[in-house]
Amino acid sequence: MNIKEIEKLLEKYEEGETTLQEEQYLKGFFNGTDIPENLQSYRTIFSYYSRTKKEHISDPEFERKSDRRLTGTPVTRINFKKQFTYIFSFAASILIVIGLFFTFRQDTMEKDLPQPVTSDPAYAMAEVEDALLSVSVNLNIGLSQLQRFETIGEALKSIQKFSKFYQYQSMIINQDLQPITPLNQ
Amino acid sequence: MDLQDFQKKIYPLRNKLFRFAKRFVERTEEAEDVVQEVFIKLWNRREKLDEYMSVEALAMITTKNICLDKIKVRRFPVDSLDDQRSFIETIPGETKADDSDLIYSIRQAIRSLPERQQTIIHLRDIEEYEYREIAEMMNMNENAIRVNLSRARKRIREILTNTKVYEYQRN
Repeated sequence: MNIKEIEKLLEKYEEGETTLQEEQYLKGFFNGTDIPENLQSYRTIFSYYSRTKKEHISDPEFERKSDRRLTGTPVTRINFKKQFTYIFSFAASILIVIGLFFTFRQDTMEKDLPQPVTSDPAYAMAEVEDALLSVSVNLNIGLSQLQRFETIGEALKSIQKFSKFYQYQSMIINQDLQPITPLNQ
Repeated sequence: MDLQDFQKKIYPLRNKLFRFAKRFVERTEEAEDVVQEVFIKLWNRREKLDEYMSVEALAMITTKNICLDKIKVRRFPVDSLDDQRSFIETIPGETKADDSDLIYSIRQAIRSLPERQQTIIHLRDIEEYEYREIAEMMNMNENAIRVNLSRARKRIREILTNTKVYEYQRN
């Protein structure tokens, strides 16, 4: 094919009228040598297209990655070190939860107040009276024990009589001991 | 469609989908992620895939939609210099130093086109789809595809010729 025909084909090409075969032919022609100076820009264009078509995915793992994604198996595996930290943090958080549980349980026990048994005031009054009565009965029992102290007191009175006697006696002795007493004189 | 069927029918599309995604998202890694997402979406619809006229067209449309969603939520544009370097590195075969400038300028020329024209150029001149297939993917009629393609091709050559003239005058 001579240059004239190539130029005709290029014209067709720029009008968007060429077939794929004709375009293949042009690409082949401009990939070769001996290209006239006025057609050099076409050489650049066609070689750019041919080269770009060779561009491809460079990741050698690409297909395997796709397989894994499509079948739903996880792509990345957790390594052992990471697993270790996961287990530890899990255990630690459980310990914290247990700890919090016990602290708060103790708190609620201390705060535990008696719940009202009834809402009937008459019943409540009777209960209170009953309770007070039993307190007073028991108090009386306790007080009866104190009557023993009264007998002690009585005993102490007779001792007091005795002490009066002692008082007089000592007065007398004291008088005797006085070196000069008006009575003796 | 079971996994084996899926691997046989869909997996071979991965490089096409990757290049198409890269046209939008620009970064290699992100484009690979997009392809994974496309696979998952298609896999979730595996029972209905046979109902479509062309699974390949569906895959390409899905790719484009995911990419456009990603670009929409982007906060910062991709650094084009960084992208240029990574682009040249991923191209297999020999890359001459003086070629990389030309590759860069043609990429810039394509990028200056309206998005629809960029997509059509990619589908036709790089992936070599038939007009019928492109029409299906773009949801346009064949004639409109040809018109857009023609405009895009002329514009790219114009831009390239102008940059060369400019460089010639400067030297």
